[in-house]
Amino acid sequence: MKRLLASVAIAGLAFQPLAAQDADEPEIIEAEDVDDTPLPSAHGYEPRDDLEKGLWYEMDEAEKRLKESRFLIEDPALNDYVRSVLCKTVGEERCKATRLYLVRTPQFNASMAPNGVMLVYSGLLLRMRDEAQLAAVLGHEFTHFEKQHSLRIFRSIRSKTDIMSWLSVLPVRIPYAAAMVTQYAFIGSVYSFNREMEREADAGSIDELVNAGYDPRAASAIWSQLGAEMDATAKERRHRSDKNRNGGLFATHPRSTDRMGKLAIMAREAMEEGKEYDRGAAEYRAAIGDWWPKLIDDQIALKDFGGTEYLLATLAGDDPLGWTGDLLYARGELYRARAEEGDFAQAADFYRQAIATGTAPAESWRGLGISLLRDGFKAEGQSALRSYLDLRPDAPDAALLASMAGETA
Amino acid sequence: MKTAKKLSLALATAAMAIAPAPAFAGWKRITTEATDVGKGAFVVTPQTEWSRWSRRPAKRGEIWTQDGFGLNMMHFIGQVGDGDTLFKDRKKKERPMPKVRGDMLVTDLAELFEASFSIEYDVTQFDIRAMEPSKLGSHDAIKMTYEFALPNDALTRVGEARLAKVDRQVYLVNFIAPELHYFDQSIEEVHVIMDTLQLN
Repeated sequence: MKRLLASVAIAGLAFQPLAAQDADEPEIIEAEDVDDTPLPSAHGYEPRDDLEKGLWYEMDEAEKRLKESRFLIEDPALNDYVRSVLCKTVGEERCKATRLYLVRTPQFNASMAPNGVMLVYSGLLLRMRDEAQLAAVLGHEFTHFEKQHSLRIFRSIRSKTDIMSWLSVLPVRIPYAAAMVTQYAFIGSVYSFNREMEREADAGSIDELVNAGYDPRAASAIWSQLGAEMDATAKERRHRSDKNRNGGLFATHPRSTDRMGKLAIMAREAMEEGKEYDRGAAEYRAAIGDWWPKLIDDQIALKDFGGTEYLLATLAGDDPLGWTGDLLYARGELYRARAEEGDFAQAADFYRQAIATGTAPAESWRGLGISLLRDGFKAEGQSALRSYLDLRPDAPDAALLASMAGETA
Repeated sequence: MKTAKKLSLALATAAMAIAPAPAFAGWKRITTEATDVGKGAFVVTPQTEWSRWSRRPAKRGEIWTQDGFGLNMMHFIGQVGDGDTLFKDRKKKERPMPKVRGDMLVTDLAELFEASFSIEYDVTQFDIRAMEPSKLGSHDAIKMTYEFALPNDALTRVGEARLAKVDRQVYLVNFIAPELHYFDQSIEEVHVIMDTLQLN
């Protein structure tokens, strides 16, 4: 019971950065000079006082629960890859302080706790277009960690009031995807970082990128992608864009658009003329490849047509030739799920294009069959379903599809 | 004993996760007689006593339980017509519910259920174990068995839903419970209910 109740308490805690967006600007806690104290990334670093020990204890407990989570992505190859990007970005020595966990959730986020636990959400992996972008996010989070931003906020809160009573009065505003990750959001994203800290983390990520040889312009590119995706979601749902008020990593007191501009300037200033900087797009695609269909399925399940349509287009690189079998299949699924006037015809078209690439998932036939049936093309639809059943005779819905395909009564 | 303790302890939080308590919730006992359910959308004759929650999940819907929502929960939602949603569209802005269309196929009913159920309960993971043709009352239906997870909940929960489309209107009967003990405890009766109820 303790554990379950604790997790309920944690859920409340976890929403803090999301909730805080509409609250008054938190008191500014200046990024302090930490030159004379050991960095948390240093070998053998231990918490320095009771408060820090208490925070570590909480985080260690949360980490234990995290290890049992069914949402962890355990695939060693993917874990090794993300870790290798982190280590390349911050250097092997500092990287040792980090314990990295990949969490399967379509939310676009990453966080790092004061005890060295780093969480990377699969929704982030889906959205990064190259290794340099991933490195930018990891470098940003690592800077928060190394500069002990969350610890400093925690201290400031604790010195004013008891933490639990503080939690109980917070307004809670939960974006649609946030409820999925309450188990993890606790670690590292308990705190809404202030403007100074975000700037420090941004600057830190640019430095790490340049030192590692990655193209530092990747950092501002992430912001422009994210902002445009949020605009697309809002337009489809006919409400105001959340791009300037979302939580976690992107709980930006510096507004997204403003931040994008500053990052671009920092990147320009940090780059040496004539030097080649690495983007690592091919490496990134290769590493994420096996996971991609699962990640896009998670995204489509969010039923966010506008945002997902934009996301697919950016993943295709705004290039007609960039539409791979997987992307076309995903686009078919997206249109079929929306099911508005003309969507089934569109979906059928995307599935056909996907199948034509020769690399599309077998489920393209399933989608094609159902879309055609919905549009009244019975014979063609049944034929497509039979093709699917030939490829996937053991599909969980095989009996049902067989009856729809006219194979059984 | 350990398991029993765990289960009863899980109840408190599980109920919280599944049913954010409304200001005025009431319960009505359902006896083993033929009962009008969902403002007349169904006629159901249970074999044991159940409790009906006063809050409707849909215009013509009801939720029943035997031991509390954390341990078992049965939805009856009927007469959902073109353009309506399966569950009330309470989170319209952030997570709008998908709408029923009169021309939906059985596979569409499955996807409709998965999406609607996931939004209603903030389901974090939904895995279909099997889907097959079946009956709801005397009507052709789709039967789905699935497992799912809720935020901050360590239990494996399983469910069985049957959906039918009659005269362009969708009917749903869905039963969910933790896999450990509670699902098996009630599923036989749930099957009898699903087989014998009447759709109006």
